[in-house]
Amino acid sequence: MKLLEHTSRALILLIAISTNLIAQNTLVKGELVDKNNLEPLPYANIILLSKNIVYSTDSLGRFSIPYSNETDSLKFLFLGYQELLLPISQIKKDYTILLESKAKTLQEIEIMAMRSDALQQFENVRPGKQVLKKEIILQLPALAGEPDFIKALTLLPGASKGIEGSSDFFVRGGAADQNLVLMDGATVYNTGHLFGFLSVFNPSAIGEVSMMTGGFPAEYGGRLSSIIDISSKDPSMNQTFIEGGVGLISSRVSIEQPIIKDKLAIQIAGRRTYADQVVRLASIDLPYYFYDVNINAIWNINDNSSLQYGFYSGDDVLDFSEVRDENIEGDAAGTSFNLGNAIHTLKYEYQQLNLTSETYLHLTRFDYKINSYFQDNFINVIADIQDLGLSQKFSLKSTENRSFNFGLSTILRNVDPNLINSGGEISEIIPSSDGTTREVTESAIFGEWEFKKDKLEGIIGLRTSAAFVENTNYVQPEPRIALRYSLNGNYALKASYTRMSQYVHRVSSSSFALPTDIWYPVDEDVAPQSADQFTVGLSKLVKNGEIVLSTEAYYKSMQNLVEYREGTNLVLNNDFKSALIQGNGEAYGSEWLIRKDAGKLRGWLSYTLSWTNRQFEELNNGQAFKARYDRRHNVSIVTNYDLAERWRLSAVWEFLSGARFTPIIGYYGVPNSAATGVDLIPIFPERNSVQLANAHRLDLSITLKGKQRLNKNWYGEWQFSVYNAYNRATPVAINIVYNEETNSYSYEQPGLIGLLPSISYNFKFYK
Amino acid sequence: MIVKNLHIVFLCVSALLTACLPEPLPVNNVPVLENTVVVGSQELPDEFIAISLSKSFGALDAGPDSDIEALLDELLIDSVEMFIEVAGQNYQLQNLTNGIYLGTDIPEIVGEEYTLSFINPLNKKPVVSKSNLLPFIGFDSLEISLNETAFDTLINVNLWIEDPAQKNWYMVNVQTFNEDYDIQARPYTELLDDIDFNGELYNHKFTIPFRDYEPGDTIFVSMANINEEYYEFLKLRKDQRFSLLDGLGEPINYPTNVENGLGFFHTHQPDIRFVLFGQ
Repeated sequence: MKLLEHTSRALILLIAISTNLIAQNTLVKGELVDKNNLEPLPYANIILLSKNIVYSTDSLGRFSIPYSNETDSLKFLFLGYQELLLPISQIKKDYTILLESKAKTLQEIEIMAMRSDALQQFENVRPGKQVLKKEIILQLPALAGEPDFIKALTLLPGASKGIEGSSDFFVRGGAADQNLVLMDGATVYNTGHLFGFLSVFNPSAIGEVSMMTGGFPAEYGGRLSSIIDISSKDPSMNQTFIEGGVGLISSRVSIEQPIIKDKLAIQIAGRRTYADQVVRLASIDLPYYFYDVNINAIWNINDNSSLQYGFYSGDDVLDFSEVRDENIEGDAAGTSFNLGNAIHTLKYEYQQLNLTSETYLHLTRFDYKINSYFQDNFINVIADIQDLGLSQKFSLKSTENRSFNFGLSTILRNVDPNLINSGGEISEIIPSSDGTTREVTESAIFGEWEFKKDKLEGIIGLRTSAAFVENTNYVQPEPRIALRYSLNGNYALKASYTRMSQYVHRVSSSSFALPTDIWYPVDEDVAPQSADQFTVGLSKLVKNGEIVLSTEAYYKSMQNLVEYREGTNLVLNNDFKSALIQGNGEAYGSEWLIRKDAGKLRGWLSYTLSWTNRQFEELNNGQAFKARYDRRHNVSIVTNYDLAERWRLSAVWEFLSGARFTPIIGYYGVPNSAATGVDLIPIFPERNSVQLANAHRLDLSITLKGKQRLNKNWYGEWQFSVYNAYNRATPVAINIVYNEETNSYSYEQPGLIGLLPSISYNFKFYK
Repeated sequence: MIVKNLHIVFLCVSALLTACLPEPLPVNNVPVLENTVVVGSQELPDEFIAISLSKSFGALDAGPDSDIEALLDELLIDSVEMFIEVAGQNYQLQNLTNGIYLGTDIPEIVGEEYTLSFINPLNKKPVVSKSNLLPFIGFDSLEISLNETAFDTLINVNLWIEDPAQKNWYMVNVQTFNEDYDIQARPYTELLDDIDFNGELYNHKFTIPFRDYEPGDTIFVSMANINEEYYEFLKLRKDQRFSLLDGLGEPINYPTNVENGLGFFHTHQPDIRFVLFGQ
């Protein structure tokens, strides 16, 4: 009772304080952009002149500043740009503030702008947070000229790739399904187009990507290993802005259009592959394409509140039915496969002085449909997972050095694993099945206190999450703490502890993701996964922040990890529940990063040394074994070098220790069950006991930029890329091949993608 | 003309990409299999039991192009002193040829434990395996018919089992024989757990998919009351029969009841029927 009384009093006091503060002041909001190309200017300084208080823009160039005097003014400062002093009345009128560059070229502007990314990382209290701006990702060499946000993240410390080409990635020893990928707050269940070779995120529609691998904020949960937070680009409020790219296999375009200047704006972006259409001109059928559409709209209702709507829809379509309408015997045969995500997000933001309220509503759905027929056999499969989520977050900055963030969230999750309708002979093998619909409600309340005292900064928080399923409820406390101690202006010591819980997992029967993998929630038999992670780190600024050095070490203990019994066939099998088993794992390692974001030569060098193990009673005779993606060394060198005013050379070199694998090493023959012949049975060594060859690859690109002139409306650049420049195989498996000359068999490790040149053209236009 | 040029461009691009496929990398860290003995067993009418003895082989010793029968001949092990002990009596099996050992005077005692033992000739360690003789349960009734579809002639099986009150597991095998018989052709196998029909007369119908019956084929049908261990082994094998991920899936350690060896020693008694339809 006492606790309740205290809580009530605290809430009343909190509201009273907030109301009091709100009554005193109002806010001036806007966005700061480059006058030349309308790109947002993140983390710029803004000074409220009368009080000499310094504020800053956010990662997307937006600002919201409390003031009490209408005649006050703001001064805008950003490295490489001319200072700008504007009265608040003018800012309220314009909303979009144009800052003019002191530099002569866009190239120099980019260099100056990006510098603040590394500084932000250094200043962040939480270890394990990395930010990649769209501009950096667009500069990297890309497979088939398609920039990929997810693959760019795997060049940072702590993250490593799965099989070549796959969109799966692995963070600090976790599994691929332990990464929560959010797009404007909504979960993205399938992050890959073209069976994972390309990311579902259209670069033209995206503003920023951040990855958290440790020190997780209390507002995030639901996955053990990482949070990938992808923010849509805010549409321009005062000018028409068009950007896009034309590549070898697809093109993309984005149009930003103010509807009511400084009040309401919309962005529509789209992308589609067109290889199927091109080869059709040559009478060749390529029965595959993908597309995606993004819509973002922002309505600044008044000075204090805004409403933002986001929509994403993307599908992969594979349809053999038109091209293979007859098999060699003249019988009808065909297959169509549709796989897609659809996401709606709605965000309402209300801000009064030191209190910010953010309300999120989202609906996300991932599904796949397979329709196949051959002669009189047919099989139709539908599977989907759908989330309806609502969350409310408050941020209260009580003093200059103290703030509170708190809120709650809930997700109604509906999972239909496999609805199968089959007929003909195939129904004897894959019978029709309704599947078992699963419903789970995943909720959380969270709060955290941020403080700063002298050289010590900290965030102490608690998230309590819960899952409600039929007949069973799970409640998991998840404490979080992150500390940063500034040794002097150039050194920072960081540490964190977090506990994470996960209530849904992906069931996969292979070493890599398949489109038919199923997401399955906790139930009365499958308990939530959880992980405790400790991280310590040291960061150092060199050359006045031009270079940031950082190192982190982590230890992660994982409980109730989900696997399945040996030999379970999970493809189109609804009877997988009894095959699920749970065990434990651990991961530890250290990460090193040198990042330089300014000058003619920019980029980073990252190195990760790591170990990760698993232990399940039912697997590997109960003995601990190395995880599939236990890669000991992971090195990435990412460089961008300005050769001349209009030429830029980019190179990415990666080295990854080989993944683990369990090849067939032998066979034995026994009489088959009818004793009418011999059944050859494979023999495997210990699970994941063989290491594939180390993988290393060099990707190169050279960019020719368009001439940069002030007040020029069109800007374009050509990018010539070479993927896998020295054509080395990145092993995906171990095969047995026959050598005719020696009449013998041998093992070999094939790769998927060799040297692949590409060309693309990226452009921007504004009016 | 445009179409022709596009064809040429497409072919050139395809050729370029194919030419740039990376050379596979060699592998030299795969562990070498340590060969071990493999036990197989089969009940024979009037003879009681036959044991096959062979050894495992490395994945590089054979492949899809190998003559599997010739390979198996090389793997069979003869001249081993093999015994089966039951009800306190020890019986030596007779080595016929080609790794086959026959027990002709071993009594059939339902419920008794049969212990197979011999010395592994590869490592000189004792090999032991045990199996209980389960009661014979055959077809109470069996109907085989042909199912003419628009594309195939399929075999329908309709059978009845008089299931006793205790826990039982059954396997039903169907296979067709003709002059093109392949020693590696796997029978179609139905596995039944009596959890839903314990102690009842059970009717089970099924159709053999994707096996086109041709006139003159001999249809072999067998069933047996098997133990749970062998049932689980067959279930694993059945689940893998259409695996699209051979070599990319996770490993499977198939169960065995042979200490210091592989394979299965079982003593189930099959009920075997042959069906031959007229032309």
